[in-house]
This record gives sequence, structure tokens and C-alpha cells, in this order.
Amino acid sequence: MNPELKSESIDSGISFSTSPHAIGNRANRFLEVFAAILKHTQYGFVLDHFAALGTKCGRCSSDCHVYRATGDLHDSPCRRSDLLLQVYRRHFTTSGFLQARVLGIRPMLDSDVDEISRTFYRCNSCARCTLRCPMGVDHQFINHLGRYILSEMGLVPAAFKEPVRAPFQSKSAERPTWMSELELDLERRFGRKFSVPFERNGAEYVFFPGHEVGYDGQGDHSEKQTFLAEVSVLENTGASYSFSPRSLEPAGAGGFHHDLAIEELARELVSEARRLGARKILIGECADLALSAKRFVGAVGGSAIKVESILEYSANAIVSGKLKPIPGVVSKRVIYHDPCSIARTGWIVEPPRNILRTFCSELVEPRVHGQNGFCCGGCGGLVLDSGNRVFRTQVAGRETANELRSSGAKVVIASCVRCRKQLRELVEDHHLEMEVVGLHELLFKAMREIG
Amino acid sequence: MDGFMELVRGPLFRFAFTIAVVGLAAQAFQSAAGLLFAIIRAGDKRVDVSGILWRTADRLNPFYYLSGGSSRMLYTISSILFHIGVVTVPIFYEGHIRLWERALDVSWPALPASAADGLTLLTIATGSLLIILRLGNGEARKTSRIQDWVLTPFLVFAFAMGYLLGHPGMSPFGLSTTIVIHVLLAEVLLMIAPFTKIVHCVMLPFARFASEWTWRLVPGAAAHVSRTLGKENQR
Repeated sequence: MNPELKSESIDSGISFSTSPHAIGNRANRFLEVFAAILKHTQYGFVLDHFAALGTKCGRCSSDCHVYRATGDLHDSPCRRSDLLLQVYRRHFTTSGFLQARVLGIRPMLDSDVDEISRTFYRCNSCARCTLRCPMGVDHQFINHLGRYILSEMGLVPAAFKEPVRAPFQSKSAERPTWMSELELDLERRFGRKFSVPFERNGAEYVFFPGHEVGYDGQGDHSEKQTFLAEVSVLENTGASYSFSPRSLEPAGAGGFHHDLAIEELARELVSEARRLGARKILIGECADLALSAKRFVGAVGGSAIKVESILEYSANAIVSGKLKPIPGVVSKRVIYHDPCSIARTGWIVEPPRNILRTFCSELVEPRVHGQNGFCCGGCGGLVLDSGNRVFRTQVAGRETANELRSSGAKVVIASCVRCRKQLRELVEDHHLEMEVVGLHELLFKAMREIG
Repeated sequence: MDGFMELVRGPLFRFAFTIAVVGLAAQAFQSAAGLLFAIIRAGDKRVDVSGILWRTADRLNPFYYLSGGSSRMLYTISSILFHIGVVTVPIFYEGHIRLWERALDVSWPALPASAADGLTLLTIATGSLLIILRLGNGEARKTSRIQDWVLTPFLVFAFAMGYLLGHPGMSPFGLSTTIVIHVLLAEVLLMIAPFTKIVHCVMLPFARFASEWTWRLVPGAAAHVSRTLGKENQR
């Protein structure tokens, strides 16, 4: 990495796949798509609200990790949101219609579409700006809406593979052969036989790890260790749970930019839970899947199904005495990185810390943490694109890199598979002498069998 | 001048006040109706009212923005103090209350004169500081619209004229002129309130509800969008 690279000169590095609709009369197509979305959703009311409330105080910008790195106005959340809100006002409101005729405000141009596609993917969608906005303007939502429109136009980052992909593709009901290897690893570690449940009806939880499990040849050693640790926790606390073929697949990328992908994901989660007669959906160390499940399962008829994160489960298991990590097992200074998807709403902030305090001798906090923590730079699906690594580590991840450096920690813990990937690249590109591990990966070292 | 002053203080004020009340009420009603519409269409109709109200109160607590690593502390503090003055002085200044009493026979407790004076000067000072801070901050300066530049000076000037009305010896203008300027400025602000960001005074309480329900998917909406765009076979 070239340390002399200036932040503002770094392009996001994101390349787009395009469809015939994406070239030619882009502005017209953008408006067609926007109109279709407004017709069938309740987003118009929300845009009316946010369009009236913005005060241009600049607070969102001063609290945005990308803007703080570049100082480029294109990275200002309220300016970016305004790109979409101005289009909305001009083309979809009465006042915009009148203003256009009286004041001659110009219509949307193809260059506006280009600017939206360029800037909306420089945003991590971490919602820190939303949290800090005194008027409550939801810049994260506006970013999502812009990406949804672009996606329907066929303008999707190439790294997301397809505009919309069904999140779970597995059709086989066969128990995976690699489960015996998992059971063998558990036996070696805990000294007794295990039978990991698969397609078990009537269990309390259906468990969706959300990340690659490693045992099937997909994913890296860290993900394999994380999966082993998550299963260890469930097995050693006597959890009533089950896997299914679809629950073992990692979640897709469509949720970052398309409502249909989000809805399909939520339906699959609910469908699997109902099919197995489970009362709860348990999500592993994948913060994006956890947030999607929490937010959207209710929208597709899953209100009666509770969504729980493995972090909450493990923290509760410690409180109830079912899990007793060995104190002091980790003596190095560790720091916990809050994944935006689960921490920004205040949902999961304390449970991971409560877990870590039971076996880590020295847990330190970033200067800004919890709900207010800075994004690692990989959020919003950006980490899936290796082509934008320079942008992610030198620009979007700069605040986090500075926090890590000043903490003096030797181990950084991230309870999200995507954060871990981003943090590993961040640590490498900023030459930080730190190890990046998953929370359960580390907890595994402190586990003893109960009973 | 007397006739003009009577017009300004009488029919014109009533007209401006009516525009403000009706306009702001309409905006509030529109917000509430929009929320209701959104929740009716949403697939998940569960409403954590107490949670949302807590979050709303949290964000309306001005000191919330002083924590969490904010880097615009001076702007935040100035804004808090500015809003305290802008809200309390027009409502609790004794001179204004006497006008209501004369017109409608209603009154309420007033601020002590010294407190009203202090708050007025505070509003003028912090309002001026906000203008300077907007000028001095790149992102605020470059994203500001006409109303962002005009509203705060309008308010500051209105408060300055109000202060001079209370201390006529200090005013370089005659009493009548000071009255007319002060009342006209207030009337302009009242009339534009529903159409500018001043509307946040009635819409802000709905902001967290809007943000919460923004993410409530309408089941099947995305499929309808695809169908409308003729893309249903492309999935």
C-alpha cells in the first residue's frame, strides 16, 4: 500500500455490471423505476418527510467516517441524500412541478444518474449519519432506495454477481457428509460423542450461521473455527436446535441493494422455521443476516417467530451458568469492534462485551464505540468487492485503523464475518500488529464441557 | 404610518398567524396520515410505541448530541441555546402575552423581564454564531440552500428589533418603525413556516416513527415493482 495516497484522490474502485437499460436514456429509466417503486411501496411518505426536515447543518458529514477521510463533498451524507431527494421533489411532488415551471429547475439528466451510481456505492450504509442527524433523516434508507433503483436499472456492482439472487439455493435434503467431520472435531475437543441435529422437527431454534461453515470446502479457517465454536456453544448448553440444508448456506448480497432479495431472504427464513416447527431463528456471526432477519421476518408473516443472535444466546448462557468460560484464558490486550448492523440500533452492544469479560484479562474499547462506533469500512456489501480494497482500507476504514492503532490491542474481535474480512485487510494495509478473530472463535479457547 | 402600523399589527398579523397555524397543522396531519398509511400497508404492523417515544425524546434532548464523538460541539451547543431562546421568548415574553390578553382575553405566566432580556440576547448571540459557523464549515456552506442562509438572520434580526422595542432608548429607529419592522419580520417568518425547514417544529416528533416504519416492507411490493417494469421473468 502506498502510504502517500491521498484520500480524496481515491476512486471507489467499484465496477458496475450493466444491462441495456443502463446505457442510453438513463435518466428516463431511473425515473420509470423510481415511479414504479413509489407506486407500490410506502416510500413516498418517507421521502416527503425527509425532504422537508433537512437543515444542512453538516453534522452528518462531520460524523461520517468516509467524509472525515476525504473531505470530499460527494461523500457528505446529506448532499448524497439530496441527490435523490431533489429528483423526488422535482419529478414526483406538486411543489416540484410548480417550481420547475416558475423557476425553471432542470429535470434529471444522465449525468445525475452517473453521480448517484458513483456516490451511493462510496457509502458503507452504516447509519452513523442517521443516528447523529438531529432531524432524524434516514440517510441509510435513502442510500438503500437509490441502490434499489440502480439495481432495477441493471446498475449493480459486478462483485454482487447478479442484481437479485435467491438467497438460498440448496435443494438437497441429505445430511451433509461433512457433519461427521464436525462431530469428530467436537469429540476430540470435549471428549464425548456428539450428534449434530439436522432436519430435526420441533426444535426451539433453527440455526442459520450466515457465514461459510468451512467444513464443506467453502470459507477460510477462521470461519470454520467460528462455526465449530458456535456449534460447541449450542451443544454444550443443551440447546434445542436444528440445521437444515438451506440454513447452512451463507446469505447472499442482494439484500444490500434490492427489496426483492430482502423479501425473499425473509420468506426463506420464516419458511424454514415453520417447516421445522421451530419457534425461533438463531443467527450466527453474520451481522447483516441478523439485522435482515430482525427487521424483515415480521413483514412476511413471521411476527410470532423470535429472532435471536448467537451473541445474545451465548451471553445469556453465561448468565444462566450453562456456559462457564475459563477466566483469564486470553491475556493479550483485546479490543472489540462493533458491527454496524447489530450495534447501530442499540440491539447488540453489551452481550459480546459481557462474554469477553469472562475470559479476557484486558478488554479495551475504541474511543468511540457501541452504537456510535465507526464502521470498519466494509459495511453495505462493499467488502464483497476486492476491486475496491484501496478505497475500503485507505478511506472508509481509516478511522477504525486509527482507533485500532491507538488502542495498543494485539487482538481485535469482530462478531461478523464481513467485518473480519475487512479488518484483516485493514490490519494488513495499515501494518498493524494485530490478529483479527471472531468472538466465538476466541470463546472456543475458553470453553470447558459442562457436566 | 399609524394606518400602516394598524394593518401590520391587526389584519396582517391575523393572516400570517392563520397561515402558520393552518399550514403547520396540515403538515402535522399529513405526517400522521402518512405514518398511518405506511403502517396499514406494512407487512409487520407491530408498533413499539414506547420505544419510539423514548428514542424521540432522546433525540429531542439536545445534550444527546454532545456525546458519542461528535465533532461539531460548538455548533451543537449554539444550536441548543438558540432553540431555547427561539421557543421560550416569543411565548413567554410579557409584552406578547399582554397582546394576547388584549385580543383574546387569554394569558399565561410570563418570564421575568431580566430573564426575557437575557434569553433574547442569548438568541441573538447564538444565532449570529450559527451563521458564522455555517459560513465557516465547508460541508454546511456548500450544501446550504437559500432558506438555510436567510432564516437564521431573519430570526436574529427579529429578535434584535424585539429587544430594541423593549429598550426604546437604544433603538436608532423611531418607536413606530421598530414596531413595524419587528412585527413584519415575525409575520414573514410565520407565513413561511409551513413551507420551509421551520416546519420541523411540528414534524420532528414524527421523525423517529418515519425512520422506524421506513423499513417496514410492504409484502409483495418488490414483485409488483418488477412486474410494472416488465422484469418479472428476469428473476
